[in-house]
Order: sequence, then C-alpha cells, then structure tokens
Amino acid sequence: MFFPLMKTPGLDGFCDLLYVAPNNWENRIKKPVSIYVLWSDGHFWNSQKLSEMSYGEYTRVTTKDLDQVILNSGLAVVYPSISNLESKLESLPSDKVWFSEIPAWRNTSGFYNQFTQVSYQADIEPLPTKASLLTFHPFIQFGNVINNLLVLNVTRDPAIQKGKIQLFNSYDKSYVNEVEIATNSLTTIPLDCYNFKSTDLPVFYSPSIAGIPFGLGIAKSGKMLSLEHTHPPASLVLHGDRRSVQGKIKKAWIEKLVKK
Amino acid sequence: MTDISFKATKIKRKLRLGVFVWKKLTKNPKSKTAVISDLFPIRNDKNWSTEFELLNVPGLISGDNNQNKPSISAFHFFDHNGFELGVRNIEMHNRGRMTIKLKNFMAHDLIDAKTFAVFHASIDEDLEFYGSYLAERGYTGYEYNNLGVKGYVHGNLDAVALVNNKVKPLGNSGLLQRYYTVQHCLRGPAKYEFVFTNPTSKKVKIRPYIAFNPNRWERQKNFEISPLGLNVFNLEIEDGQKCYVKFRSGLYLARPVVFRISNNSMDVFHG
Repeated sequence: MFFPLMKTPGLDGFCDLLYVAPNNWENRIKKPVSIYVLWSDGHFWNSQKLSEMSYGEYTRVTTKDLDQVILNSGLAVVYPSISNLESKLESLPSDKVWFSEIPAWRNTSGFYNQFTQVSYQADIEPLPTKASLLTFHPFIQFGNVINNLLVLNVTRDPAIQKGKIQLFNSYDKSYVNEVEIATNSLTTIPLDCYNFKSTDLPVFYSPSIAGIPFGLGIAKSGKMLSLEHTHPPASLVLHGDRRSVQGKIKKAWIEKLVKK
Repeated sequence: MTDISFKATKIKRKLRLGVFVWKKLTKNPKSKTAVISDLFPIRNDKNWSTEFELLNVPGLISGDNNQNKPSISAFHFFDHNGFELGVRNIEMHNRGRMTIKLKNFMAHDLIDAKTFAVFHASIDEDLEFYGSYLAERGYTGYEYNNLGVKGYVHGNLDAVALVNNKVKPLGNSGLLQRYYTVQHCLRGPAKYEFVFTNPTSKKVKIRPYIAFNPNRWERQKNFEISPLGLNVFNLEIEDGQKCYVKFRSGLYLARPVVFRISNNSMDVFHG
C-alpha cells in the first residue's frame, strides 16, 4: 500500500503516517519498517529512504522537507518497506506491508498553509496503465473561494503518459473543455474560468487514464481549505455486481457525451 | 516476503476475518426495490451550518439527469436517540445539482434533528441492476465560523435502507469486541470531535482509548448509542501534544466522522 504526498500551486502537502493498524485482528505486523519516498522520472521509480519507524510511532513528511525535483509531477508516494529498496526501480514494489481491508490501512494526506490544513484518509492501490475515468463533481463553491480539480494517478509502470480529461455539463451534456493529465502525477485543473453555476453538475471523462479526482477549495483569505474525492459511478449503488452497474453507467454517459 | 509466508499470512487473515467479521459489514435490504442511504450528521448552531449536495442519482444511473419527470428525494430526520422526527420531500427539477441548506428545516418538529438520511425514488424495476441497490452516500458540506468555504465529507457506513416506507438499519455488530484505530495522529493545538452514528438495530457501547505515548493506552469513559442515534466524543489536544485514539465496540466498523478545529478553522474527514 502506498500513501500520497501531493503538491499543488500555493499550498504545501503533507503525508502523516501512523504505525498502528486500523483494526486489532487483520494485520498484526510489528516489525520496524523503512520509510521511502518514491517518485517517477518517466523512466524509473526513484527511491530515497527518509527514516525508520517502529511499531506505535508517528511521522510526518512534507513537500517542504524534500528536494523539489521529487515533486516535479506534483506527486510522490510514501512506502513503508521491510526490505531495502534499490535507488532506481523498474516498477513499484509489490509487497503490501501496511495492508488491511476492513477497513483499508490508511494515512492522513493533505495540504496546509500558514493558517490551516485539510486532509483525507488516503491509500493508493496502483491503477491500471490503460483505463478510463468518469466522475461527477459536486464540490464547486461560490464566493471568495478558488476551485480546483485535482487528478491523482499512480501506476506500477514508471512511464509518465499524457492524456486528456474532458469537461462537460452533465445536465445538457454540453462540452466545456479538455485538459491534459498524466500518469504518475497530480494534475491541478483550475475550474473557476468555466463559470459553472451552482445548479450545474460538471462531469469529467478521461478515455485513457484513470485517476482519483478531488475537489480542492481554497478560501481567498487562505483561512479555510476543502478537499474531498469524488466517487466512481459504482458508488451510486451498493451490493450486487457493482462493476457491471458501473460499466453500464459509464457506457450510457460516454455514448451521450462523446458520441453526441 | 516468500511465497510460503505470504500464503500463510493470507490464510491467517482469512481465519481472523471469519472470527471477527463473520457476517457482511452491512446487510442486504430485504426488498429488491429498497433504496439505501448513509446517516449524515447535522451541525447547526451559531458556529456551524450543514449543507447537502443533492444530485439526481436515479438520473445519473440511467445516464441522463435531464429528465422530463422531476426527481423526488425523501429526507428523513432523526434525533440523537435515533427517533425519527419527520420527513421532507425535495423535488429536483431542471438542474444537475441542488445544495440543500439543512438549517432551513431546523424548526418545529425537526428542531432537535441530529442526523438525516436521503432516499431517492427507486429505479425502474425493468432496468437491469445486477442485484445492486440505489444508494445515497452523500456529500455533506460543513461550514465553520462563516468562513465562506465548506469542508466536504462523504458517508461511509451505508447505514439504512428504506423498505416499504420504513427506515431499517443495515449495520452489523456482534458480541465480540473490536478495536478501530483512527488513522490520524492528533496534533495540537486542536479540538477534535469524533461523531459516531449507530447503523445497527441494537444499542451499542463504545469505549474510547487515547495514547499520548504510543504504547500506553488510557481507557476513557464509555458511551452508548441507540439504534440510528448519534454521539460525539470530544478531545482537546494542547499545543505541541500528539495523541492517538482508538475505539472498542461490538460494531463491525466503528468509523466516526472527524472534525479537527484549530486556529479558527477546521478540517473534516471520515475516519
């Protein structure tokens, strides 16, 4: 399991790690671990050991602590490892060291400025190299706030592939714009220039790159930050064969949006 | 890790799963046409306001939220003991998103409301749904101190279903006690509020534990929550202090919504 360290313009990122499993029965690991930061240069995953952690300890990694080259793509991942890692890796490590399912073993990742911080409970399972993304975005706020969409992508393969994410208005299916996104990166997409109204529900579609999309709101005063991820269409239902429902929802929307 | 030890770890995990979580985290509703919702906390006082981002979920599922018929969603409100106070139907028409200001409902019979659930109209039975149920998992926005920007959080308990117009809890619990450690180091100066809802049909007792030293957990006073009720565990962390928190209960997943209030601002996330 990997934990994100993200950088977006105007804010620094943090990644808080807690070496205590979320439940008392699933994963009873207590061995000391090495904390690595991993980042892609497009050819390899580079690794740098940051520290060691014993069971019960806490550590914080921030974007300010690291050489800025590590965050060129806006994203690095933090990985607890039992073994030593080479400095250049052809793929992300496959050992799941801090891993549980009920619930997932997570960390606290987010952004901060001089006034405040915002976070979400994070864990990253690498995404397939070739996949699509369709999501609805209800987080645009109005008034003295800056609205951004963040798209986070991590794949095992270190290549940084470029692709497009298209913006539509879900209500009338009108095309708004398309923006470049990339694998193994965090892409920040300003949204205020599109003048979405409070009754609009933007929909984002990427035909070739999957990702975790977030709404990031920044008060112009800097005194409040807002961060939450959107859901994939499968989250509109529970139980049963949600993958099939998701496939059906995506097909229905893509036919209307792209083939219009 | 060698293949053998990896397989052994997987087998041990499966065995423990069988002991600790031998039923599903949440039950399937008993009717095929049931709709599911989370139970969303309401914060409504001089410091806080709560809004809900209502979407045309049936329209999003069928691939068109621009439909001729208005979409109607039923908001069910509950007090802190889980007693249902009332229902308000909200009609959504000619729009993709409707931001519902909860304070507009907080009067008369709903004045003591502490949580709400949102049930959308069920989907046409002819639509192939692969055994799934339509669900509202939220986005609730909380505004603190009129800062002008809301912190959003989604539901994460899949708590209740509307079956034949009655609200039924879906969460599972058992006699065996389980710990849930919040995956967050509490850092001061900050006030933390852990908001729990009870998604089960039984009263649950939750025992908090806190640790300022990672290996020394201190037992705190326990609290009980009625079915569909709500309770808040508060912790004040001083400047320079770091603290961990875990909760012991019979709930399969005792995950709270966490509010962190610091420097006249706040952060909200689900545990």
